[in-house]
This record gives sequence, C-alpha cells and structure tokens, in this order.
Amino acid sequence: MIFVNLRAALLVTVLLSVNLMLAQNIYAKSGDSEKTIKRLTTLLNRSGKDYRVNIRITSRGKNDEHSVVYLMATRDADPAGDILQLRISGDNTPSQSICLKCLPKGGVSSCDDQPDVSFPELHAVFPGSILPWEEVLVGACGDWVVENYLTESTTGHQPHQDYQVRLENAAFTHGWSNTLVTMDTDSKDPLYFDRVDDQGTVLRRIRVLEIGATGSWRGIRRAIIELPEGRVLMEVVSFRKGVGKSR
Amino acid sequence: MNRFGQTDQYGMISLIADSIMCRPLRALIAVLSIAVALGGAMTMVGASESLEATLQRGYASRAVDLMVMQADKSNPMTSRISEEFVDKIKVIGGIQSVQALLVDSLLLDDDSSILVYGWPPGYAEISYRLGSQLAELRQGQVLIGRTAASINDLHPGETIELNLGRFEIIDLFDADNFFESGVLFMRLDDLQRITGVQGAVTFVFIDLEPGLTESLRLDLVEEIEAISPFLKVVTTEQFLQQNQLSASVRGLGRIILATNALLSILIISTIMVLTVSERRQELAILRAIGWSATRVSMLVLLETAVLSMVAALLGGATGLVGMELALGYLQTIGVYSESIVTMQQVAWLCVSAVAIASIGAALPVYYALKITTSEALRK
Repeated sequence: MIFVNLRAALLVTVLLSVNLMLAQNIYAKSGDSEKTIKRLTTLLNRSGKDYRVNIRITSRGKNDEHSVVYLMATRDADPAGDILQLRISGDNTPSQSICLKCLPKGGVSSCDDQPDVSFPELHAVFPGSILPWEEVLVGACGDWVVENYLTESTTGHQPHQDYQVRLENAAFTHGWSNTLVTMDTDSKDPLYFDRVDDQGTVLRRIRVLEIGATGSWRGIRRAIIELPEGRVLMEVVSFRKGVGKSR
Repeated sequence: MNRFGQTDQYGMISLIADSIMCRPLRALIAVLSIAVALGGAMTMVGASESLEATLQRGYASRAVDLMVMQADKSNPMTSRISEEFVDKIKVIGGIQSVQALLVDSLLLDDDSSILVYGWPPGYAEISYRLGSQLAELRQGQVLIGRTAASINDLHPGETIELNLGRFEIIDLFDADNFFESGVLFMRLDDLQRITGVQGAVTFVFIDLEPGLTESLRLDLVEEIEAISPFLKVVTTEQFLQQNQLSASVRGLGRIILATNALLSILIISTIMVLTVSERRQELAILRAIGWSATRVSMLVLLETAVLSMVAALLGGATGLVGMELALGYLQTIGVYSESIVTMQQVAWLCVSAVAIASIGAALPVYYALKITTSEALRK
C-alpha cells in the first residue's frame, strides 16, 4: 500500500514540478519587461541604505591630461534625509571633506551641523577631474524611476534603447532632459545610459563596463563617462554595506 | 548463462545489471542527477583550488616566505602601505631579501581588465633584452606576460590604453609561473601615477634566511608589525586563505554541492524505493531460496553504489569541462590560472559519490529489509 501511495506521490510531485517550471517560463516571458525594470531600479537607487564606498575617478581630457582622484562616500540612511559624508583626496588635489544631505523631496543641501559650508555648484567640475558635480549628486541622491521607452524600430538582437530613467525628485535643474538606457539583450543589464536633450542629441554617454555584486548588493563597478571635455573612468575600489552609522 | 554470458544467474552482479537494464530511463535520471550535483560542485571547488595552487606555485617561484600588507584590509588587493616602510623592513635581521610591489587591476583598452604589477627601479622584472644588453623600462613603457599578450592579441611595439593612460608594449616576458604570465609589468612610479597612489605599494614580499627557527620567525613578524599599526604580516598560506576570489568560488561550490547533493539523495532514494517496490516479489523469492535479509539489502545498496559511481565518472568529466570554462571566465577579468586536478579532488569526488549513494540507499534498504519470504507466495 505504502508503495502505491509513494508512486502516486512521486507522479504528483513530478507533474507539479513540470507545471511550476512551465508556469514560471510563461510568466518570465510575459513579465520580462517588468523584471528588467525592477532589476534596473534596484541597480540605480541607493537611498535608504547605509554604506561606505571608495570610488576612483580617473579623467583624461581632450589634450591628454590625466588625473586621478579618490572619493570616499559614507552614507547614513535617515528618514529626514540621508547624510552623505564625502572625502575627496588625490595626488594633485587638496584633500577635502564635504557633508551633504539628500533631501527626501529631492535636491541636496548642506548638513545641519555645517550650514556655512559652501555647496558645490552643479555644473562645476568635481575636484581633480573633469566630471560635473551633478553626475555625482544625481548618482548619490537621485531617486530614479525606470520606464519603458518606445522606439520606432528594433532590429533583432541588436542592442537598442529600451528604457528611460527619470529623476523622481528632480529638485534642481540638470543639464539634460532625458536619460535613455540601452540594454544588453543577453544579460539584460544596461550597456549605456545616454543623457539626451530635448532634440534627442546625446550630451553625455555613461558606458557600463562592469556590474559587480557584494553579497545582496549589486551595482555598477566600473563605467566610463564620455563628455565633450574628455573621458572619465569611475571604478568602485571597495564597498562595505551597513557601515554608515559607525563612521 | 545470463545476458552478459556470465554464470552467476543468481549472483549480485547479474541481478544489478538486470535491474538497471530493465529500467534504463530511471537509471539515467538517477545517474544524471548525481552527475550534475558532483559536476557543478567540482567546477567551483576545482576552479578555486586551481587558482590557489597556481598562486602557491607563483609564490614558491618567487621564494616568498612572508607578505607584509595593510592591516585593516579584508581584500588584500586593496592594501596600500607606504614605501617608507620597505627600507625599515630591509634592515631587520633574519631577512634575506625583500620585494616591494604595487598591484592593481586596470582597464585595458576600454574593454577588459588586466592585472598590473608595478616594480621599483632596479628590479629584474622591469628589465628587458635590448640587443646584447639589458635595458630598464622607461616611463610609459610596459612588459606583458606571454599568456596575456596571446589572449588579448597584443604585440611588442603596440600602444595600449590602461585606465585612460597610454603605454607602449616594449616586449613580452616569460614568467616563472602561469599566474604571472597573465600579468603586465610596469615601473612602480608609472603605476602609482596612473592609479593616484604616490609613494604606496600593495605588498612587501619577504624571503627569510634559511634555517630560521619558528621562535625567531615569530620575533621577526612582531618586529615588522611593531614598525606601524598599519602593517600586517601573513604567510603565503594565510594570504591564500584570505584570497576573496578563490574563497568565494570555493564557498559557492560548497553551497552548490550541499543543495545538489540533497536533491540527488532525494531523487536516488525515491527511484530506488520504486525499484524495490516493483521487485518486491522477486526479492521475496530470493529470500525464499535462502538469501539473508542482509544480502538482499546489500543488493539494493550495491545497485545504488553502481549508479553513483557511474555518476561520479560522468560528473568528474563534466566538472573538468566546467572547471576549464570557469578558469576561462576568470581570464576575462584578468586572473590567469592553470587547470590543476589533484588527487585530493578525485578522492573528494569519490567520497561524495559514496556518501550520496549511502544516504540515498538508506530508505530503500529499510524497505528491502522488511520483505519476508511469505510475500513470494501472495500473487
């Protein structure tokens, strides 16, 4: 008797597993876009998390001038606005520390305990590099919303602009009107983020070179930003999750 | 005579063979499930062990006894210590020679990563043959390991871009070990400039004088660490234990083995219980003609073991292919490793197969033990 029941149980288990696999496959096909949007949203948004990241920013200008600067950013998640402690150091850059607060309704302000500290100009270059400050600020404090982007034609497996990301909390005017994302059709990870103007001209291209994972954290580890002034390589040298409070 | 031309009609071998041949699909599922479990785990564990063994051979070829690095770094590759410490370490008694170097993974031609070693002036690593004489690299010049050159299709005389800086490949070098043949050598000051860490190195390799006692060795370690709280001294074995890449690959391999082994045990156990249930009357007849309960259960156990050993062979072959692919992937991120299969890995594969077979056979053996001679007369 027990063997008859066992055989029936095995049959039911196998059928159930096959059904589950098929159902998952069907869901995966219909929900591909939603899954990619969710994945991209997680990759881009950092608010509400404690971490410490050390980023190496290498710049090469149009006249071949080469410079390297390190940005150590420590983030303390806070409902009143995440606190970002930035420490900038480089061989040819005076070391400096800046405390910023990412406001929940958008925008960035100086920290409460440093009201007199001058706030970086959005279009000014990041110390020791040719990178505009706005890229650092929107990257650190922006809440990004990922949406489908309808292209006129898509050619087979060629990468194409599938999604657009917009700043939900755009409290300051940035130098572009839209950001379009070109996805890798195989890995479903972003290849390029294009900052475009109203006419659709690409003003700045962020080329994703490497996406890395540390435990549950997943983020862009290496990217090149192509600017009219030259190129900037941004590399995550080290990343530690949950260390913001203990700084 | 049975179908194999053997005379042991009532022997275990022919009964096991009959059982497997009569249910080929079931046997195939059992073999494949265990093979996948073992192959997947061997891929990961084999790749991590190969990487560790390759690094170990590298340190041996450089005669590295101790390594000095930054104290508070969990990832040794991000260690940065001041060059000033090198001169202080050199003068400590019991040290035969020291080598200081800066290591970093740089972006090669906007495309891939390559591991770069920066060597101070005067080191043999940054000298190359120019006609009949030896010349030292000048600023902006690099030497590339033969494997790295071959994989990235690079040749002497070409200009490459490393972290947005331009460099000329002067020559290829033959490394003493496989790991370093995938590396690029440049002047320390060049690497410091391109990575923005003036006056810093990653490691100081120490070669100790021969015949040093353990106590003197410990004193020497203490003396080095007393120079600065930022310094930590590790042996090459300790360093390999800390190597995050091989440790994470090894850890992932163990998780894969554990989950896959559990699934394999469930599958083989269910399949063997079904087999026992179908052969219930046959097994009861064996009991009736004089087979002991132990012998009948041994029959079930051996059948499971045969399936597991076939799976181990298949899993081993799959694991070898997987290991090659995994090491090939590591090359794309600038880590070069030989594919090394050790006796330990083979033993581990066999032990895992036996463990899966033994645990998976427990339930079917239990049912086989409960079969009585009277069941032979029921139908």
